[in-house]
Amino acid sequence: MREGDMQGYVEPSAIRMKVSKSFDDDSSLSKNNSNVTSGDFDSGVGMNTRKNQVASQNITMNNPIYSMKAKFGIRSPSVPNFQDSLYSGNNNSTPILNNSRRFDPGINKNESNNMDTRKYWKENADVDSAKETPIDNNKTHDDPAMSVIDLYNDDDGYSRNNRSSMGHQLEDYHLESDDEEDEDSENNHESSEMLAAVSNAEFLPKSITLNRKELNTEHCDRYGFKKKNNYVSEETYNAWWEDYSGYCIRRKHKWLLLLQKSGLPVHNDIPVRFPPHSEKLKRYVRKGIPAEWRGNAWWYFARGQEKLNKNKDVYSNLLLKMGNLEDETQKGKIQDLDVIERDLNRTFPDNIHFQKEAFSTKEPVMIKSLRRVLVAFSLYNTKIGYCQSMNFLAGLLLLFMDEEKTFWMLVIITSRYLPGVHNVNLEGVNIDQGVLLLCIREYLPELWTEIESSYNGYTKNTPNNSANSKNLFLLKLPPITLCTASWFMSCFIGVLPIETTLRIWDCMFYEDSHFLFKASLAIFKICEPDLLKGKPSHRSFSQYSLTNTKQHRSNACQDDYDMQMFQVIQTFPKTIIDPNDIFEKVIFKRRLQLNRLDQNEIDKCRKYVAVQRQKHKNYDDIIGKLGNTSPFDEKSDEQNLHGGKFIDNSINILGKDLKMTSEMVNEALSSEVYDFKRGFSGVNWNNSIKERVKHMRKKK
Amino acid sequence: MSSRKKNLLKVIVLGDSGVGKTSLMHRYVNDKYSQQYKATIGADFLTKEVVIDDGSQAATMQVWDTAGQERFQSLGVAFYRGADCCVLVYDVTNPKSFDNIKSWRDEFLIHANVSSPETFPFVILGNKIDIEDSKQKISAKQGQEMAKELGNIPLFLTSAKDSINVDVAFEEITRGALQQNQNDADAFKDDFNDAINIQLDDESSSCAC
Repeated sequence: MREGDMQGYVEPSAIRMKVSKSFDDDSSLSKNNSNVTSGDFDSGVGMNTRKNQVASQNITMNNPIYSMKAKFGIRSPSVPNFQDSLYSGNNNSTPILNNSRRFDPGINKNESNNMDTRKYWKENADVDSAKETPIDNNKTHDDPAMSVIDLYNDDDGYSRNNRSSMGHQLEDYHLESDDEEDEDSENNHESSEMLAAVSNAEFLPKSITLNRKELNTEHCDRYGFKKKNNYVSEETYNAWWEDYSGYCIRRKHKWLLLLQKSGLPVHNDIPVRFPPHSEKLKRYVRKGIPAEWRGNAWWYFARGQEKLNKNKDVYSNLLLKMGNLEDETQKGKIQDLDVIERDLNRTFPDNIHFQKEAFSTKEPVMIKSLRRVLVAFSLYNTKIGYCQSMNFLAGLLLLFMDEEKTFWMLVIITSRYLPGVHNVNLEGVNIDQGVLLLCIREYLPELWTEIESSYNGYTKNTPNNSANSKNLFLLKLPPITLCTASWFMSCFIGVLPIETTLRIWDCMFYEDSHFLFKASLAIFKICEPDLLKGKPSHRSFSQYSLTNTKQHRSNACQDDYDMQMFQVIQTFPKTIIDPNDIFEKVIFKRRLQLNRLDQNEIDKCRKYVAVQRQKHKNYDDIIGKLGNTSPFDEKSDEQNLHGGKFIDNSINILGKDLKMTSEMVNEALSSEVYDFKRGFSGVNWNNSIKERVKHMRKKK
Repeated sequence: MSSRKKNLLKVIVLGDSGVGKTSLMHRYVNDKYSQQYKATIGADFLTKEVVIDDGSQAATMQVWDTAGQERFQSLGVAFYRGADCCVLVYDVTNPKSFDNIKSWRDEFLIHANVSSPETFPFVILGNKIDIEDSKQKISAKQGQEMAKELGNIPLFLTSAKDSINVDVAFEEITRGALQQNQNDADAFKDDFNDAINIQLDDESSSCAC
């Protein structure tokens, strides 16, 4: 062993303690695991150098500490479409890329570029590694990531000693990436740049910044988003990230153990298959899928491959069609193209992958991909076409998977998870908002009281006041839903900070759409104290005294409160930088009623709201109070929604009786109130058991 | 009348996607401009305190920024109600957004359920005049003609980017909103008649932007 190795061996005790301590801290770790972990951990500590890693390759698969180093990158997700520039050679995405590149090369002009850079990288890596010891190419790709532990544990001794034992390439890399404020490191040479290219965006070394100074990557998170925004300062972000990155490393370690146990291969740090659904896996997903696996995991859990296999060549054909459109200048015929074009640069203007390079007029690759996906989708599903907010969905997906997969995921999201939500009449949004309101009424009754009284203020002087049944809010949604609509339409993108959003996406793909409702309730739950803080205390009095004012602009107190409520709903979510605020404070609390919400309930609820809305519309039409102002004209879309048949039946029944009065409507509608299954809803079940027991006794 | 009662002025900004509604709102409220606004989904709102006249009257202006894509109209219907002023925005480089101004106004009137549509205050803003002349498709004259046609609606040619005419426009918006607020209060004569008593015709009245 060289001197550096020795030092590397002696010093890391501190870090070892630190890391293993964090394992112990993690509540989800079973006792068995924890023993295994610490044992293996010790035996692997000496292997800090590449040389040693190579020597001990045989045991790597069973050796968590090796995996920790070689594979525990908190790296940027693959960003497959961006390979040709910033992340050239990022081999994370290679498997993904190779996976499904079937369409013509013209679509991915950047691919040849990729190959070049990758080749170049390999050659260089080979030459360099040959100096020390023969080394497997694949392994060298992983190496830079092993520094993650140094990076995330501020144990200077460790990293400094470690550095001396590395080849100068790695050393440079460490120097750069270790200390963000180290200005000197800007003067670095090519070799470090090569290595840097495969590291993650979070601590993108300065040598890259050197080439792209304008991007200031150190101000970006690992996905390329600016850390700072109107609600979170960079300092706050960094402080939080210091903790959270450690959490991510620990979680990834657990994932690796889980996959190993399930006998699932992890090639090049990217698993393609995941274990079957189980309570345990659900817990793992809820605690977060490793960022660089998300593309594959989402694809797997959403059964994307299934969809793609059934529709081979559909995407490439759509792109051909799109190309023809341009030729025949038929573009004008498709209204959506205009809107798409306007939204491309308004999707993630704060993300480096979506920004132009300085002094370049060249359109970013990401923007081109985004355009293709959105236009292809609008050709594929003409019922939806293009709906604003889909740009966010597609944009985020593109950061994690290639274009074709993004397209199919978009298809899956808009049909399976958010049915009808993006349709031209947005009826799906309205239904989901109705469902959300019902959920609030059920699970957050105190908040509901406020929403309801605010809503009554709005509807007091509406023409059809008399039909103000219990359920009118399902047809004429309270203004608050204007804020929450975007929560669903863009699946929290732009509503919550990115890491929090991604954790919800993990669960959405694994647990289905009810998780969006659960997450919404969780957000309300966390901000409930803020929401209830300023509620008008004398409402009952003021309402009484103002009855003769027709409630017009009279309740200033209520107005102020409404505004405050909006303010909270609008801004509070943007400050939830730590996903665990939602997960640990709400989602993991079993005692909380709202955690009983499941997919079945949401499905039923959606049906119910769809029917109620349809009935209200029909009543309104019949009574003629709304006349033709109803903005919901497209009946054809209803077929698409849950319970389409059910709705049709109700229309027929209603059509027979044209002499409805509003009182009748009121009565009819309020008699149908949705009931959530309660904790003690086993009443029926108990009864049947009782009956059975009675029968059995009788028989005896 | 030294009532310290705070008025809430609700202003709604409508117009096609990408005409600059969010930018205008931020320019007015925060006096900032950024190239990095995202497409608005649903609606956002900002508030700004405005002081009227000699400072004896304060009002909170609540500016609602809406999504521009046509299909989002149905979502916003619920909150049109109770608006005190409606701002219609077009992009001087985009004729379609100009043509749509009328339908935005009609849409608003249908859903807002205002007491007297003839007098309800609208303000039209032709935005992006910072862009080079050759790219501007809608002339000031065309704008004025349309504004006149729609019932003498005040028109301002603005640039959120270069901060041209934004404050002036919002002064007019405040004035209109206050007037409307007053009218409504008058229409429902009640024990709140001491709430607002501002000489709106007074030239000196302006908001403290």
